[in-house]
Amino acid sequence: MTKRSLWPAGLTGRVILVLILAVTVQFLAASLLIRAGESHLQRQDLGKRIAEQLLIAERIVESADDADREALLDNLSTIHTRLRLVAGPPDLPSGMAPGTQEVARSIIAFEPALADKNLRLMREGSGLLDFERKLEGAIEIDDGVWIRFTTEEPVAEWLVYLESSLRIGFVALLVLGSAVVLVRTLGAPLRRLSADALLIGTSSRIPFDEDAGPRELREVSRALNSMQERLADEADRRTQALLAVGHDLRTPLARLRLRIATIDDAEERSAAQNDIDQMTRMLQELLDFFETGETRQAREPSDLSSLCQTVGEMFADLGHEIEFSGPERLTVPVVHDHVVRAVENLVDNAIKYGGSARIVLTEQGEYAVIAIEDRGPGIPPEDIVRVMRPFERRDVSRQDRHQGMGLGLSIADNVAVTHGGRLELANRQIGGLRAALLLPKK
Amino acid sequence: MQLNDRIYRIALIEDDGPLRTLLVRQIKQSGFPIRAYATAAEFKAADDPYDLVILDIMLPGTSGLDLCRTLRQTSEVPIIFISARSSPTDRIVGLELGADDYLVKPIDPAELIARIRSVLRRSEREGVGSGGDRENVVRFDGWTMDRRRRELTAPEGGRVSVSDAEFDLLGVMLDMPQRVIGRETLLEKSRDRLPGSDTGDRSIDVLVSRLRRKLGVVDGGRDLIRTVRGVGYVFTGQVER
Repeated sequence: MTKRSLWPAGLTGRVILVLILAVTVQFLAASLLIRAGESHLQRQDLGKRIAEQLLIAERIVESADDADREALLDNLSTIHTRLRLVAGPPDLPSGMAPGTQEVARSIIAFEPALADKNLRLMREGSGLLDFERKLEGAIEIDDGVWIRFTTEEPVAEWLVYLESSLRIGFVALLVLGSAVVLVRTLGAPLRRLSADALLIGTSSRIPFDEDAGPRELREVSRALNSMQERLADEADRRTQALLAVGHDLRTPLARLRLRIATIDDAEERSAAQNDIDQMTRMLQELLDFFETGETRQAREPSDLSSLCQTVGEMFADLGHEIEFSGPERLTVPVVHDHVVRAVENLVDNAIKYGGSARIVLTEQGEYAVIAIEDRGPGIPPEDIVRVMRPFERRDVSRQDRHQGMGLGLSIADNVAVTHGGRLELANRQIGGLRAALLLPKK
Repeated sequence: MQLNDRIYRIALIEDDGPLRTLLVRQIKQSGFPIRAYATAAEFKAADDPYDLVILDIMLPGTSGLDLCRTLRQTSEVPIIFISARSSPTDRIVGLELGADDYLVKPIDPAELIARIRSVLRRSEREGVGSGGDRENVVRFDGWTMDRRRRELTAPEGGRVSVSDAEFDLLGVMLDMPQRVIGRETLLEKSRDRLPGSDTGDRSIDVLVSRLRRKLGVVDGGRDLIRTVRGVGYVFTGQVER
């Protein structure tokens, strides 16, 4: 679980996390390297200084009288280095103590004359937090004559370290900050792409910009575009095939319609007539479903007010109770006959389930809204999405002599969607269903 | 069948054999002499006289649309399309080529006969013999009525929907502007598509009131269709052809 919460879900987050880790490692490494480099320089300096002083001390000791030696060496001592003459081997282990080789090398490198002398070096206090480090040493300038020296080993000050670390850290943060901005910029087209890709298949074709963003994204855009193209072609071929089948079925149906005239039994003839009528309606419904799903349809400015009235009057002439309310004119670019079909289907449903229908035409922001209200039982909320799907019937148990194919609402939905609008179904508070066809005014 | 004491001969071009036979039988029963052909070529080769052509759109070889175009170049003979295609586009293409009606299969036999009569009556009224170059587009008070496409366009440009019956009624009125038209005349001339079962004076009144509402009130409050109490209606718009 912790792993999951630490590892970001998004690509941008992951790249940023990787960057933070990389920059932190780089920061630590740089700090250590700078520290190591600095102490190396300091040791070299220390070696040089000791070498100089030792050489001078040696010369002085050699040239001075025995009695003066002590005083002269004392004079040579500085606050950093104290020099003293000792007889006999000093109280230091012979050779170089660990950690002093570097200084010793520096001494010899600077003054090769000291190379063949007997040199002892020892370090006192070597803890990391030991600020009072001392370097003790002795050099044998003559047989049994040693110069004993004690010097402070300069310890690089923590403040200096802190300061350089802060500088490195600041640079690291700058690098990190600009990298984050860059990663987010890189991620933006990707986010846009995935947002757009989510819309594929929901409405008309989503164009992906093939000339924007990094090369990989352009390739993805190109792939998505051609995928949509193929899908559309495939759907188109299938639709065309089904339309052709639908059209071809009409000729035998036309023959059948003429043939039944020879049936003598009036009851049988009328039953056959009803069967043919139902087949004709079902076929028409299927063809309408495919035709209204086509997005390439010419729209012409049409007055929705007279359209709703004309549909309503058609039902009124069949003896149904229909009301209309709306403005005198509301002209919107639509595929006229498709909207007629959609409104017819919705009114037909309202009458079938609610007994009567009220068509209300209004304007709502950028949409013209044709709402068909009934006083029927409405639709259980959990069924609202289902009934808009093709071939789904609103009430399965219902026995309907004029049962269609269950495409009425899908056709209305097709019409709304291909116009850039939508179909909304909602139960009214006072009971009954409200089916609203939203069509963009532009 | 006689309309105005004349016998109208029908030519049917339909490639589906059984359907052709059935249609011939049906139309013959209604009293029209009819000859049937399987293709456009057969029809042209026969060169029989005819007064109305019933044409299937999808024919092998020369399509029904092409044949219609050829026929229209030389004659105003009434043409009725029968087609398996029901989309508005197909219908409009057919009507724009000059067909007088467009029926979708499967055709109800009674409907077919009614349409044949209606088309014949209309061509009779407009006088096929006298040139018959009827205007397809009529304008009145900024409105446009396209008889072929059966579309009505408002002065501000949008298409206004009217029912077929209202469209025909308006068509009759546009043919006789500024004249009082009796209800009987309107009834007779537009009886092919009256709504519902009650065909009578009342249904004409209903049609007129619906039409008025859709046409709206013209600037200045003038009504395009004025009622003449007890007689009928007058179309008061300025008709341009």
